[in-house]
Amino acid sequence: MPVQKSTPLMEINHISVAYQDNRSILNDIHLTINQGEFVSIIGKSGCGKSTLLNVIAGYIKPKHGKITVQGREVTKPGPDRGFVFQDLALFPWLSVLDNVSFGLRMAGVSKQEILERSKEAIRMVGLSGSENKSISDLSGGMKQRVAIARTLVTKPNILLMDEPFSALDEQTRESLQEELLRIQKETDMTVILVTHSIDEAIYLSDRVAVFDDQGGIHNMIHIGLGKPRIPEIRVSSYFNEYKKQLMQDLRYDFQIQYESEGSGI
Amino acid sequence: MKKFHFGILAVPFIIVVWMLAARHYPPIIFPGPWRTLLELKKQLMSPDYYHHIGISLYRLFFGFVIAAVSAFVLGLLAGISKAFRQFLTPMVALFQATPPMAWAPLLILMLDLGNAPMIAVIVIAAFFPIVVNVIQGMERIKITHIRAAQTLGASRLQLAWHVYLPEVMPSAFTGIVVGFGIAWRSLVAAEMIGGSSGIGWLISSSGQIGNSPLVMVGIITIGILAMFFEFVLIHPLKKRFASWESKA
Ligand SMILES: Nc1ncnc2c1ncn2[C@@H]1O[C@H](COP(=O)(O)OP(=O)(O)O)[C@@H](O)[C@H]1O
Ligand SMILES: [Mg+2]
Repeated sequence: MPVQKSTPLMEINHISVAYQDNRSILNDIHLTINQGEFVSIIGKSGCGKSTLLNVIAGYIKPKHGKITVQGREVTKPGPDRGFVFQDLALFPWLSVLDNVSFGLRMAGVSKQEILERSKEAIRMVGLSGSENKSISDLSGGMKQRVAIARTLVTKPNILLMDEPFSALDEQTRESLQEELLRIQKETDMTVILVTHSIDEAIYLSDRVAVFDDQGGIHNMIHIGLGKPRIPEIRVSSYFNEYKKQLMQDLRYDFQIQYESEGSGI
Repeated sequence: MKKFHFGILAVPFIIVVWMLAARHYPPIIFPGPWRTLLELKKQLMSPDYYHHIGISLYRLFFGFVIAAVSAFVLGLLAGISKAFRQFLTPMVALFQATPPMAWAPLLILMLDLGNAPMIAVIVIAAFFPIVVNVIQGMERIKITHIRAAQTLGASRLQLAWHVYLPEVMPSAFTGIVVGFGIAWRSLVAAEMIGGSSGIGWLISSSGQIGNSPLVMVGIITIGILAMFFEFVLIHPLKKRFASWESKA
């Protein structure tokens, strides 16, 4: 086990959510997340993973319970909790630079600082030189990088990611996973990642939360693979042990989904 | 070799048909292209001609700016507030079902002859198509765009300016193009029935004194001006503010 900082950062306090039809989506979720931790959430489609991220982001109000970040209750969205959307939600009418600088422009930062910090974020995701391109001219992987840079630019303490890599090919996905780990280390961000990929969850995370079908946490697994991760760990027997356990936790019907993953949601 | 484009036949075709049709009437009733061209040449030297065009453009400009700005503001508000949208929608439907021209006699009585009733007709003509399309555009805005902006720290006002406004532009332009066409036509018609100046009045008064060539010059002027606006004004603006949608 690596030495883990264990300052509690976020308290997800007995959260329950129901939409208009009153069907219970999240069921008494209770979870404490530490500063700098990387937590992944896996579970079947429709089990409420995105809903939980949306509550943390402040887009949805829970029916019961509350979420606190550093002791302060979450009531609305804010730049301290960055969000990378499954559909990326880039602004297609803006250039790469203007997408990335959006958060700084909202904050009324000086022009000089906007430019410096935006370029820095663009550099961080390896897109230097593409500042003036339009979004429609980018490949899937580059769009993903813009979405990450746009979120990083406001220096969020917490990064929420909803299946960010699910539309990418395997190679692009793996290189973005490496970059995400590097960026997390550089910034000491706390990351909560929703993913369909068991491999992705194990490789990136300190802990993996497995959701059950009733919108609760079925199991929480610590991943003790050491940090920084080395890519070769993906083919180690330790890695496969975790994989086996997670597959069992998700049961057989998820495995079928997992085989055909990449087909989106 | 480039493929033949049948569009270039349009103007010669119209001129031939025009010539054939004009042969059946005395030139004083329906002048042919040649007579009309001579009249156009004469008018191009006449300050009066420019005066009437200028008046019409002035009315068009003011009426259209008033209509577009108010339609944008109300459309955005209707997009944000469901209650306001419910309130506005039946009114828009009601007004849109009436031809703007039908208001002209009343407006002339209420506002007197001159620019005011003409501008009012244009506002009525252009406002509704624009507001309808802005509301539709608002309904199509992606929820994740709104959420992304909120998470990046946008206030309500910033959200309206930086997300709603650019995102409704493609829809709004559909309304602007439609509204502009209706406004221009309605203006000419309103000037014909109750004006004392403007390109529409030029046509109707020339008709009354039997100056058919000038009527034709007026009609051609209207067409050319409309095409000028379309290609010099609306298309470049559309390209600047709404072209991202076709690529996205
Ligand atoms: N806005 C909504 N209104 C009603 N039901 C919703 C809404 N959003 C999601 N749901 C339902 O809530 C459940 C959980 O959705 P979601 O959190 O998106 O699942 P996941 O991300 O795990 O696939 C699903 O059954 C979905 O149909
Ligand atoms: Mg989801």
